[in-house]
Amino acid sequence: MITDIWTVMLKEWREYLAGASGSGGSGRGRGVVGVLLIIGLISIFLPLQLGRELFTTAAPLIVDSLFLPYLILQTIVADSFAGERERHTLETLLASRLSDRAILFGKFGAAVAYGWAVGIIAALIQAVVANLSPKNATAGSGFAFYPANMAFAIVVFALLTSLLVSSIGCLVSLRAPNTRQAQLNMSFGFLAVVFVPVIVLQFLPHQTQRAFLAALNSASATQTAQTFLVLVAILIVLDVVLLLISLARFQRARLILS
Amino acid sequence: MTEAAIRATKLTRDFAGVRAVDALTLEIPPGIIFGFLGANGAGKTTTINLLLGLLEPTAGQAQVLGFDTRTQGNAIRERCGALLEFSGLYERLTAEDNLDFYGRVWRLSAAERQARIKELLTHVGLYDRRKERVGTWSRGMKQKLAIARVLIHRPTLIFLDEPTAGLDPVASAALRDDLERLVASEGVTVFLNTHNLPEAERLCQQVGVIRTGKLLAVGSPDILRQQTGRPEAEITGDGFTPETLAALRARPDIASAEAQNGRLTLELADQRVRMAPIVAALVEAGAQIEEVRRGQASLEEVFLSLMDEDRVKEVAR
Repeated sequence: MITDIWTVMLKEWREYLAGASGSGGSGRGRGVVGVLLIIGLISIFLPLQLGRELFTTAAPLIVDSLFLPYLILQTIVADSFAGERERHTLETLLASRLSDRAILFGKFGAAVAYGWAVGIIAALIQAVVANLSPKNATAGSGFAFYPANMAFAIVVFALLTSLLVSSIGCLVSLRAPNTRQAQLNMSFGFLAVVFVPVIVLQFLPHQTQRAFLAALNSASATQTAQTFLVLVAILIVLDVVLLLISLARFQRARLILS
Repeated sequence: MTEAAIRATKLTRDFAGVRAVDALTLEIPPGIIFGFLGANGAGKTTTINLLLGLLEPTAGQAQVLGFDTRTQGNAIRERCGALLEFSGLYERLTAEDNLDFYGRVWRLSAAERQARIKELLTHVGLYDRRKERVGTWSRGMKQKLAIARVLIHRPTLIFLDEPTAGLDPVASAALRDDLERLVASEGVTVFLNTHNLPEAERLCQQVGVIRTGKLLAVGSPDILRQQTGRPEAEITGDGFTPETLAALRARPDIASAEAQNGRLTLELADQRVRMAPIVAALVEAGAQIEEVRRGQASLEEVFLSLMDEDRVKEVAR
């Protein structure tokens, strides 16, 4: 089973690297250009503005463990599931000796590892750029890095978010009639996750808004740790539930008829 | 006694009230190319999906290589290869990467994969283009690669679903040649879905004809021709007047007679009919004969005749 999962993961990564557009040539390295561009833009612009202050804000946590994995994976996962069906390669895969689970876990594994790696690499690039930023001219010397709890939170959240996006992407793709629709649905979901809390906050009374922000700013280390654990627990439960639903939906007899 | 490669007993599959495969009973010996002939929508693809254990039958059962399709689908897929309706190739990947992936799927070692990829791609004349993205290739080249992919793990039995569909005659003939050579060298059993009857006639040792899910006939092309198609004769010459034709049609040994552009086509009552008395009668009626050729109905004629017979039966029901 592990060998089979690994085989599917390797194939998925080869497809990610090959990318969706272009033709001819050796077919390697096209897909990675777009990802590098996104990582580059996000990982250079923000730390360049903040300098070492970056390590004291929540920005890396939000960008590297929530925003980036979702941004990268929403397209990739839809392409991996709905795209494979649309390009008629899924039937051949289903007619092979691979089990349903090996195919599903292989696709999940490839996407999760990719999203996770992108988040961590982005955080590392940001750390380097933050140290090199001209904003630090008057600051102390030496290489600064994220506090241990922040680094740990980035690693954990990037993993859990990647798994969550992969599971949602799988379920959305299995229902969507084509890849484009699946990607569109995922993008709407992304916009909702990013903007709905901001919009809701705008409509709250000023007093409530101030109280909420004050509570966020004055949170103690214990409260922050508790919040972190609660969020991790929620994400784990969501991941497990969605993974189980994906397992139930991703079955040969059902897929061959879709 | 050699075990059948495929044995189906009253295999049936319904889709939302429509019977796609209707009580299919079939036995295919190992080591042959079996042609499954039928028009579009006849139930050929559903049959492959049932035999690969991808679909559960509504009724009946089937064994493939001795394994039950209902409960041992994994064991069947482990030993079989399949080229389904679409080539199933990853168009963003190179030809080599496509074969390498399926080599890994069937757990071939790195050395085995490398050797097998070289062997198969050389066989189909694509080794020099192995580093190219498959998406840039013609349909004929993709189908050749897909056949190489099907054979990568040396399967005992392969299912091919209309491999030459949509190819131009040249690509189609080239693919057929490759397929014939590969099958001969690999010694596999082939279940070939096709509606290309000349292809079936050339490749298949046995054929089955299916219409609206029902198996109408099964056997070697020769036997089907004898059972279903009437023997024919073609006479080239002059003087085939309407009176001569009427006289021929009245004879008990001739089922039908048609003349066009100095060519007289006769459908004979059966195989035992001798041509000499017919030719003598024609000469006596004033016809000038240059050539007499006797032949059998083609598989296409057999197929069409079976389809017509079944249609008539259906209307009568």
